[in-house]
Amino acid sequence: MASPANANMNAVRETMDVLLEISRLLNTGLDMESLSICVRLCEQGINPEALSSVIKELRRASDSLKASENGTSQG
Amino acid sequence: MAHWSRFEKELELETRRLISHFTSIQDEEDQNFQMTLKFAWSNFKFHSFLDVNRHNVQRSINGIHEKLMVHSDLSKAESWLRLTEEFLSSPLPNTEGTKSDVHYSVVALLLHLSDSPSNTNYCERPRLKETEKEDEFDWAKYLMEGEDIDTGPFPDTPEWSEDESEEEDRQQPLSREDSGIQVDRTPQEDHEQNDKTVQVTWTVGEPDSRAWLEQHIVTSYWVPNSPRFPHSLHLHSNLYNVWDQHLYNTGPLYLPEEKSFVTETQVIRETLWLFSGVKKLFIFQHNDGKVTVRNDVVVTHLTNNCLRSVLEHIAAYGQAVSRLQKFIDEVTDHSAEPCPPGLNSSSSSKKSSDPPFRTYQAFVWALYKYFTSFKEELNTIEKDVIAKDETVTLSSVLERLSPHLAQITMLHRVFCIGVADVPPGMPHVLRASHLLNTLYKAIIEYDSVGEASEQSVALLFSLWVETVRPYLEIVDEWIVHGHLFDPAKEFIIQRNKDVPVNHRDFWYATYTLYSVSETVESEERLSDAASGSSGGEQASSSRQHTMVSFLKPVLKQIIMAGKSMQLLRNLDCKETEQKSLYTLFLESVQTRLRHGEESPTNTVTKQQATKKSLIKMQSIVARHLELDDIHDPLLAINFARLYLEQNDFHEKFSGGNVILDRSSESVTCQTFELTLRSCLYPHIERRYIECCGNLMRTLKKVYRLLGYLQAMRNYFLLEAGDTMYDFYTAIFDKVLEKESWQQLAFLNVQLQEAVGQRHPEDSNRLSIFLETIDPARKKQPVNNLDGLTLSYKVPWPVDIVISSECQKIYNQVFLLLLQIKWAKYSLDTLRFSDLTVAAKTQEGGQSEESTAKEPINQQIHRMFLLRVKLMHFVNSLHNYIMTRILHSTGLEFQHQVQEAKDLDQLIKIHYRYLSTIHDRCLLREKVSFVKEAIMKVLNLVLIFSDRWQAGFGAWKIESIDKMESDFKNCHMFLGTILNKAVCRGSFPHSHIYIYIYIYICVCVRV
Repeated sequence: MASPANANMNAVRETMDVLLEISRLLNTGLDMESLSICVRLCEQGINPEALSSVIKELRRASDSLKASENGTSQG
Repeated sequence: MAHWSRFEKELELETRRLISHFTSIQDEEDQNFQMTLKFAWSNFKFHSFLDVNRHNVQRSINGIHEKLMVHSDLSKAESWLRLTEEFLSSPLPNTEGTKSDVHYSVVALLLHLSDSPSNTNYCERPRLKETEKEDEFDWAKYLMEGEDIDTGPFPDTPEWSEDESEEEDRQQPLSREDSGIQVDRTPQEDHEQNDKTVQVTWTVGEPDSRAWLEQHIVTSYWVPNSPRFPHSLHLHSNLYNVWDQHLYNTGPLYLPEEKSFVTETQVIRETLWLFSGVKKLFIFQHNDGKVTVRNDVVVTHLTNNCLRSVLEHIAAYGQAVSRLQKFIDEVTDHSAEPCPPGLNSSSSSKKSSDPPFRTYQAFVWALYKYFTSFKEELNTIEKDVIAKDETVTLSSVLERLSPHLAQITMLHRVFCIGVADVPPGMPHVLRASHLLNTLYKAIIEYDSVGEASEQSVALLFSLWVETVRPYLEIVDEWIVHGHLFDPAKEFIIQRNKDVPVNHRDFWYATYTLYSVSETVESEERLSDAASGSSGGEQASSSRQHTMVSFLKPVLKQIIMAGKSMQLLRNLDCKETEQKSLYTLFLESVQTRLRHGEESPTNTVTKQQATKKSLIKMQSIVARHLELDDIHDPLLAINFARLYLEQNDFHEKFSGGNVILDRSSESVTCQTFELTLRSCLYPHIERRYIECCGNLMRTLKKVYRLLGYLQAMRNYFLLEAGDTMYDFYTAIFDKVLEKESWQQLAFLNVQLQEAVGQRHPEDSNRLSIFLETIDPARKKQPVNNLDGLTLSYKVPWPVDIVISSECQKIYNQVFLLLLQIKWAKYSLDTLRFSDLTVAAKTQEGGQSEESTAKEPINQQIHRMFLLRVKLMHFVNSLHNYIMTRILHSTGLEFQHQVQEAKDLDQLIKIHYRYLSTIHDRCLLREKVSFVKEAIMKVLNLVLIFSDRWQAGFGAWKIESIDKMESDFKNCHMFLGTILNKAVCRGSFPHSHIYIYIYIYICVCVRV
């Protein structure tokens, strides 16, 4: 029967909804997809602090990259 | 990378996703991507961070919550706590169990990534989103756990684990940085702010516990911008929103206002509080004694207007309750403690200018008792609400309270008319009697409605019975002990202080009857001076005064009994101990009502006196009734009240022998006036008969009232003929002998001699005076006796009846009688020989002269004839007055005196007797012309006898002619006058004139 799996799916979906709410409340800037990636990573034992520092670094790098790209395209 | 485990493969896959997601570099072979991947890997694998500590995470969660609270983001704070809790107890895709380390690490991750949530919260966008989302979430929850919606405004009370409390305890000293909130200013200030927003002083020490309490015990709906309680999204529960939305959609100008949402339970609770007299409420606001409904209060399942109309209805009742409550407080504040009426009105502290008097105190006491029962009812309802055994809605509460509310409306109306509308500065007597009248009228008014208002009448009646207590006690004190004790001057009759009891004016001038005119509403001071209490009575009936209407039918009896009692007390008569009037009244009311309503229990009732047995009896009665299949809701109510009020005040306060079943007062009293007539008036009537009978007996036996009345008749009306004959003949002889008789000593000696022989006991009471009279009036010989005044010293209580005014009238009659007696005496003492002898001597001397005119014999014969005519006139008059008038009236009077019931009646009888004889002796001003004619005749008689005495020759023949013609004229005059009067019937006492007329006819024929 698929119903327990379904129920589990629903439960997980709800959990993710809650998580998204928390994330929004905290103004983390994560969307649903990134959130699910993070959850999976955490589940695999990645240290959250390390993960957060990576994410921050990635964002910064991405931002600077975009800025430089914009700058080059404009230039 | 073949040696990589599956785990590491997955991890790498996720890492790649992460990088591609965040950097949007889709090409994995890109150099940048690879560099990034390497960076991420190295960070993941070779970091120096500690493992996630769930306690730290929990602390951070609480820290953020607190921070949000500090920023007054109450709704957000609440959502935060709820969401994290929810998340921690939800399953994750690949992790078993809840609240695992993974959960905490995810939360920790988010915390690390968070970007000053308190700052961003200030912009509205995320907030709106959140609430919507939240609603969705709650909706799901509602579907899952449908019962949660009934748990009230705080369905998400967290499990209070010891862990948490410990954490909270420990969290206190930690710095703000722990909360993960980066923008963090002056925590001290924020803390204070927090306190301010809450505005409630909790005794719980820790601010966190307090916050928790604020969150979970009750939603602080009274705080502006308080968080809204979660509630169902079902259409029925959202009528307000739907309607609001509708208005918003249809009206372009519709401006949605800020509203405070409350639950119906809260409304019910506030309603109950309002009714129990609480002033500081949120939904209902007190402004200068007025209760208004707050505008912005809404419940979710009703439209604004609907709720408002219901609440305004309640507010009106609340206002009535608070007004009555205020009155109760005002009155009870004056006296040191709530005490029964009748004890300390005089000693009540003089805090303000207007200390309450006993009637108000009694009224307040009755109100207080009613409110006690009302509050008990409110308490039961509140308990029901708390117990949640059944659904309690506002309308069901109102339904339950509706009889009480109707009664409160009625009480408030009575209060407004009877107490509040009375302008300040009115004397107590007016206020008290006005209150009693209002209650009385209200009872009659409701009573006439019939069965529809049985309960109202029952309540009013019990109020009235309580309120009337001081009055009845005053009456009782007065008519039983002869002491009008009314320190607050509230009774309609007031004692005039300056008249001592043993004064002869006591009976008339001691008491003042106050009465209130309904139309004029002004004070009337009716001093019952002229004719005792009857003056007041007449005035009250003619002007439709309403001074305490319930006492009106027996007012005269009360006054009479009171005065008699006071008099009796001063005559040292022994008092008999009795039950108080109020007790008697209550007892008869009970018997009457029980007789009417509970006839099957009558026999049982009489046997059982004590309270306990009464309760027992009631259960027996109830069973009885069930057996007989009698369904009597009224009876049921009575029983209920009986139980409620059994802890009654009588044993506490009346401190007497009164054992009362108070339920009887709540029984409706069909035909209230009949009840009074059968329960109150007979007691007063009986007391009146007792008192007055006693007084009359005492006066007659101990104080010889009848003896004194007889003495008055004896001496003033010459009934003691022999005694008075001795007295007046001595005077008349002196006059005949032309000696001066107007010496006080001579007159008194004569009087004492005459009286002392036959009535020695009266000799020292009687004395005679001579009043100086205007000499102009003494022209006529008959007026010679004017100024002769008899005086009889009447001892004290009897002089109330035989007053000096009475003696004046007696004296007038006495003088008239003396004049008639004198005329009669002077005619009687004439001797024929005087004339015949004189005639013979004359005949010898002057025979010739006389033949020229008229023979002497003929003259003498004319004199004889005239004398006989005059004698006939005087004798007839004398007989008529002495027998027809004085004697017969006297007999009548004696008969009436025997039957007189009270002193007032006796006085009236005496007065009537005096005025009758005064009238019939023609002493009234109106018929003075008749009297003058008679006086002329009497004068003629005196002149005639004087000439006769002088002897033949001392007068001329013309004077005989003149006397004859004078007499004839008087005759004619009297004849025509009386004839006319009788024909016209203009004189009220025409029968007197008929007598005189008959007599005159006889005279004329002679």
